[in-house]
Amino acid sequence: MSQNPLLEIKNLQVIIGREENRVHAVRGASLKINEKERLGIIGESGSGKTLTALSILRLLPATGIIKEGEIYFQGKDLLSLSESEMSYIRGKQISIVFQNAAAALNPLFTVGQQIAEVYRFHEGCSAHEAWAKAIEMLDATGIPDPTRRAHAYPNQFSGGMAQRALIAMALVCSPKLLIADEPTTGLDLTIQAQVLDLIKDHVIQSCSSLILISHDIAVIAEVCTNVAVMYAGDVLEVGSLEDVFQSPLSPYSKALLKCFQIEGRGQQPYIAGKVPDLRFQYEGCLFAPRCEFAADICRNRPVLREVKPNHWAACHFT
Amino acid sequence: MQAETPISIEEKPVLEAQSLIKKYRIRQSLTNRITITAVNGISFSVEAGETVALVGESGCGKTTVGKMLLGLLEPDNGIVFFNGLSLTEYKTKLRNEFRRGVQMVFQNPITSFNPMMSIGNTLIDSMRLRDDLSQTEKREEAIRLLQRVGLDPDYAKRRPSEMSGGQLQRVGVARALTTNPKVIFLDEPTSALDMSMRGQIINLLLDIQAELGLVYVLVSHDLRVVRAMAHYMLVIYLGQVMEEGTVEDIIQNPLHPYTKGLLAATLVGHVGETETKQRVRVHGEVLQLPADFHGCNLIQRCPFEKQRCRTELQTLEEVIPGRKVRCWQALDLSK
Ligand SMILES: Nc1ncnc2c1ncn2[C@@H]1O[C@H](COP(=O)(O)OP(=O)(O)OP(=O)(O)O)[C@@H](O)[C@H]1O
Ligand SMILES: Nc1ncnc2c1ncn2[C@@H]1O[C@H](COP(=O)(O)OP(=O)(O)OP(=O)(O)O)[C@@H](O)[C@H]1O
Ligand SMILES: [Mg+2]
Ligand SMILES: [Mg+2]
Repeated sequence: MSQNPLLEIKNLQVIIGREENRVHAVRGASLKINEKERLGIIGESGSGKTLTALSILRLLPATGIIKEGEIYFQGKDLLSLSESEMSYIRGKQISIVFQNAAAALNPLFTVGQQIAEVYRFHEGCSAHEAWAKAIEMLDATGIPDPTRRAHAYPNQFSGGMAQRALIAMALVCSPKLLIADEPTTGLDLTIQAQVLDLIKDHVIQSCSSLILISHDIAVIAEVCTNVAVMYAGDVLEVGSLEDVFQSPLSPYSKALLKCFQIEGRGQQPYIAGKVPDLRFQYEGCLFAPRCEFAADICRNRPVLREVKPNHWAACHFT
Repeated sequence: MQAETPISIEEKPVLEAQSLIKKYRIRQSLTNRITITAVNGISFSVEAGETVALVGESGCGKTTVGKMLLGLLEPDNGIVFFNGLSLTEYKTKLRNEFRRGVQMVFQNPITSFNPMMSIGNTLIDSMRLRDDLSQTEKREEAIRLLQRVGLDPDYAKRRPSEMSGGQLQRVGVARALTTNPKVIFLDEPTSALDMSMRGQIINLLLDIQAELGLVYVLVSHDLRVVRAMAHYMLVIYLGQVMEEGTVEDIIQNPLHPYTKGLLAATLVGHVGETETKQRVRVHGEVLQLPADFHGCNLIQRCPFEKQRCRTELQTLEEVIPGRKVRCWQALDLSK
């Protein structure tokens, strides 16, 4: 890639959990995202998508540590910043929207107050200006009657509206990178479509970048320009949406994508076997035990390499 | 002894719902109570070996329909027939037979099990109504069912917390089978599972249906799951059927704007397909409509709204054989 990436993750390793439940959740994941790119991360449950995203913002749960790796944002190594330097990046340069909006909003403050507070912290403006900005953002995210709704508490919002408010809060300082982790799971289909449109339109208009995490490829296909496929804490394939979805290279991507192609009534494809027990370390390819092409060579871990221009895969057979 | 009722599949559907209506009184504010019609005249019938899907968003009345089918809730109007007898007839003498005949698989496998009870005992416990089996036979039956759903007999000893979501949902299916049912109501059976696991549960349910000739009533908001499992579908909005027909017909050629909106949001099929098709977006959120409103329920959300939609009663009409739609514009267009 000729461009300087906006964000680059190199060989990220995350360990999380206590004692016997301690797992190697992220195992050397590497990713790049350029300006104006919208990167979707897909993968089965437990593949390390959320922990990778949280590592970028250094918001891992208490039992989690980044064991190894580097994360560069606009050339800066995020992992070497102090906590206070990091707090100026969070919300201002990089924001995150989680799945469960109801839990992410503070029940004790009005929605307007919470958005205004983020803006005031980063932009240092007057309370009055910040409140006006909050209303502007609520309006921009499609909340009807925003002047009145800004005074509402989160529990007075429906799931779809709370998710919009959370997006308004994430976007209020026009971040360069928005991370959305399953932002529409649990929302009704028509609302899901509206929220995805909102995220996509805003990212395009503000020329920023997006990381969208979902295990639904339909959601990714709707919004993203690029896709990364994760499995058991590693990135097995990255490329443009068309390349990965239409001509996947890794056998895992192929198997996963097949699960979504329902052509009619009858038996459905699935991936036989189990995901590896993440408590242990493995030498070889993580997918090999479930892979129909596995051979001796797969006892060595394949590295992510550029198989075709801008289309990367970690598999010995590509 | 288990008294089997004579079934004559050729003449009568196994399950039939006729114009079901259910209203709830809900509190809107401290002083104000209003009546909402959660289910507003829903009818369908299903024959042995067939699946009907109820599709629609949160609050449209799917679970309420299910509860009426299971006899857990009395309809305000309308009748449910199981094997040709109305549920009120079962109430009196054949109660247990009906309870054995209609079973359910729940949406969330984790909360639908007693965390203190082993899987084996859970299955044995749900054989309470099987007075044809001795205790030993019940134990054997539990093991047989575990194997049938693809689990090792060893799992009988486990607690729900020691199993994955996908394994628990297999137990959920086994539990529904303990009473030898004819009908299983599947309330979002795969929504808590990821896509690969989803395929396995779908396959299991399809196998069991083919083997036992079961009727499935499937509730799902995922049109891909509906496409994989169902023959016939009803698209429901605010308690009313907006469109119904065979699954493939509706997916290939949706007529109602609401169905189009749902399909555009699901992207059934291949990547890039929606790019070429026209995308229909349903605006805003579900509205609480006033009791005296007689127009189309999709009012203020429909991208094709006209004046007539606000004032005119919309009826569900057959456009082409086997296909019904509740939208005058869709009817006009197809003429
Ligand atoms: N707080 C935690 N304590 C212990 N283990 C954790 C914690 N959070 C995540 N894990 C483990 O780390 C692994 C990766 O989790 P992660 O949440 O990143 O997966 P994911 O890809 O986001 O999955 P999903 O699609 O289910 O959200 C899993 O095995 C998970 O059990
Ligand atoms: N016991 C009850 N008392 C009052 N209102 C109820 C009751 N049960 C359901 N309702 C209302 O009836 C309507 C239909 O509810 P129902 O649970 O059948 O919807 P659903 O389609 O199953 O939704 P979901 O997808 O969220 O499960 C909703 O407006 C709901 O709030
Ligand atoms: Mg996650
Ligand atoms: Mg329900």
